[in-house]
Amino acid sequence: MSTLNKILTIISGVLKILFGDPLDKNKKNLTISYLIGLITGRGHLFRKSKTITIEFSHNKEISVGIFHCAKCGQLVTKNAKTKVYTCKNSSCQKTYENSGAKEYNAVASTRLSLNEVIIPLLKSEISANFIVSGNNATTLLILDFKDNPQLFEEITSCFEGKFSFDSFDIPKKIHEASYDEKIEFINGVLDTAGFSSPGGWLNRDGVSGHGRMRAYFQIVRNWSITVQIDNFLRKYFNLPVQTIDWGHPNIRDGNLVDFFEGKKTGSTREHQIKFFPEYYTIFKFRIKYKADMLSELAKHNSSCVFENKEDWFPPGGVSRVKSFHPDEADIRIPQQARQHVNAFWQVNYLMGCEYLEQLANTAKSKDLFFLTGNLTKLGDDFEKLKKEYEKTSNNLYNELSVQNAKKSSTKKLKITKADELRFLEKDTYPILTREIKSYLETKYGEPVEAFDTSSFNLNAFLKNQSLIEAYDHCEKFNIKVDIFAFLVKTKRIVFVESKITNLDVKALGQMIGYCLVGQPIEAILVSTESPTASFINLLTANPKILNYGNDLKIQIATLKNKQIRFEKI
Amino acid sequence: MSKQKKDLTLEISNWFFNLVKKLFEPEYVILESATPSSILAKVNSAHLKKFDNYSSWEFRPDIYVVLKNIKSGKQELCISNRSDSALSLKEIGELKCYSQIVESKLSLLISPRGTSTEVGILLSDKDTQDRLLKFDNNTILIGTWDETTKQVQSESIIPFGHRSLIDKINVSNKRK
Repeated sequence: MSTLNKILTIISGVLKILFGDPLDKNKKNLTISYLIGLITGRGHLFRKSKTITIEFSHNKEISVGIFHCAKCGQLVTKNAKTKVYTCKNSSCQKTYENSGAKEYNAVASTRLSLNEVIIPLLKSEISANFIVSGNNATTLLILDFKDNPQLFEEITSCFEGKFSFDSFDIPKKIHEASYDEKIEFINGVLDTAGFSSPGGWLNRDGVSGHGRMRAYFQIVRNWSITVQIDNFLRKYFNLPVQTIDWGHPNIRDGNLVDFFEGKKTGSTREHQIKFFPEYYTIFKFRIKYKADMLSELAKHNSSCVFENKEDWFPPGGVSRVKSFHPDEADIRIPQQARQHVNAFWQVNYLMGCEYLEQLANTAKSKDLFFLTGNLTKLGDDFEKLKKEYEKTSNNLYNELSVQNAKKSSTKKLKITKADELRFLEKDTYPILTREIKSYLETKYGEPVEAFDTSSFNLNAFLKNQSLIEAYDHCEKFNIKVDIFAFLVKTKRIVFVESKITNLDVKALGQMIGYCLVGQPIEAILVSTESPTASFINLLTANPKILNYGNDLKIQIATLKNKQIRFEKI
Repeated sequence: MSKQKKDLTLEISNWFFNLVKKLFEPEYVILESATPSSILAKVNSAHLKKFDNYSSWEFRPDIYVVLKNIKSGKQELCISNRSDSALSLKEIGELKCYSQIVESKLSLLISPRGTSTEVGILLSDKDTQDRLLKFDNNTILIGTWDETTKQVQSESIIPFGHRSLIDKINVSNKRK
């Protein structure tokens, strides 16, 4: 090495010692941005134990790619009724008994990608203990930072005191990050919340092929970040989004099919931000099967040659008025969007889409713009039009109700024993809600709110009632208690489980599980049947099984004559 | 119980029996191993009847093994519950109650589907894991049953620190 080179090497080394290697720092920032993306997509923060858990879901063990016709190369799809695969090319229409699509083992691929690519990448810049766990539906990556609490604080501080992906916003740090760091952030979100399944293709004709493939971000229970991601992709990368399929009843269940089949939760599913993969080539999946499937989708679209970007923005207006849906006021929908809508972009607007806000500011009437998508008309007819739309909406609902009433009257109703018990158990909830509220208000001398939460996941319920701010363990509640009570002043919680059969160790065990997680100040296991002598005997011999915390234990009670009577154990 | 469930219980109980043997012999001798069809209080077992308060044991674990410490002569119980579906807080709470009642030496909760995703996430937090699984000076172990190899996958074991324990039995079974 020449003398000059030697000198330059020494100077470079000294500068790195003093100021750090900019390349190293850059690599660390990229890695952290990727990790923040993973967390934003599906992460859980456990501040006490300094752990971060990230979910990689793969609901089906085997994912299937695109089936192209061996004869003409066009798309082949399966008829749901006949189960026969048919080429979509009208000049070909070749049929197949079995699928010729490539299969991917999602579980194995996820684990392999984690062990061989993602963990080594993260480990190279992040000092933590990495553990892989999970089941066939979800693989969990657990990062234990107990030996590196400073880095844990640095990463988790981005999320501004929130605990879980279903309440995160895109961190400010990412908005302020470099272009490449923003790309890594999206890569992280894709690896956890992105999916490239060919099942969601659009019925479109390209220049030389049919069927336009879409990939999507699947956003669970987080309405705000859905529109934030759309705006982020638009703002920093100028990328189109084809549509946002909101888990709003008017969007997902516009014809009330789920509703009339009694599927109450059908209208509050996940949101899907759908995009055409050929425009998103700057990003990449590190989960191999997802990357391979995305590549299939992009190749297919490129070979079909689609010329229209089909960006949802600017919106095309409101094509039709939808039926009223009884779940429009569901408390699991955030306040802003808890109303009737006729188009998905209206939900975008309600959830704070910057682009729609800017567009609305150019409208002659903002109200009319929201109602119809029209920018140029004045709002003189707004009230009249709004009433017309409401009338149409209600009429549609009445028609659907009549149609479905006819259908269900011809169905033979099958009530199972479980249904009977469920029905009777449900009868106890209003009484218990009232009695528990009264009991707690008397005991603690402060206002109490009590709710029947038997149909809700407690986490989702608390979030939408704005009670989640009051209780920092709420993020961990993915459980259903029958009655949930909340002491308003001191912000403490109470669980009640109701049974209409004799209490046993099994019932106690269920409640113990909930209480060990939730740590309510009181937990009451109540039945309409008095406890049996043998159950009392067992509890007397083993009182510790009632304990779930420091001086916290489950109370056994009986509901008789609409009053709660506590058993002395 | 369906034939499928019966077969699963039998396979798991054989594996569990071997685990108990591997872990506790020669300090302990195995007196009895069973998959009871009634609550423990009503099982006609001379060994069970030697436990204090056995008559209050009005519950039925899927598998139990009775051990005796050769030196002290003290009897102890190992229990296991199995589920066909993904394990939830309900199953964990249930086994925790049973474990505390019998002061079990080993408690194992097994399912071919492992834990539910929500429970997996809860258990990834050490504090919550300790609250859910620890009892007295012991801990419940949770694992996924592999229907192909007829054993619990050691990489599925929670708490994570106990994976090497299961590795031992799986390795020695392989050698056989």
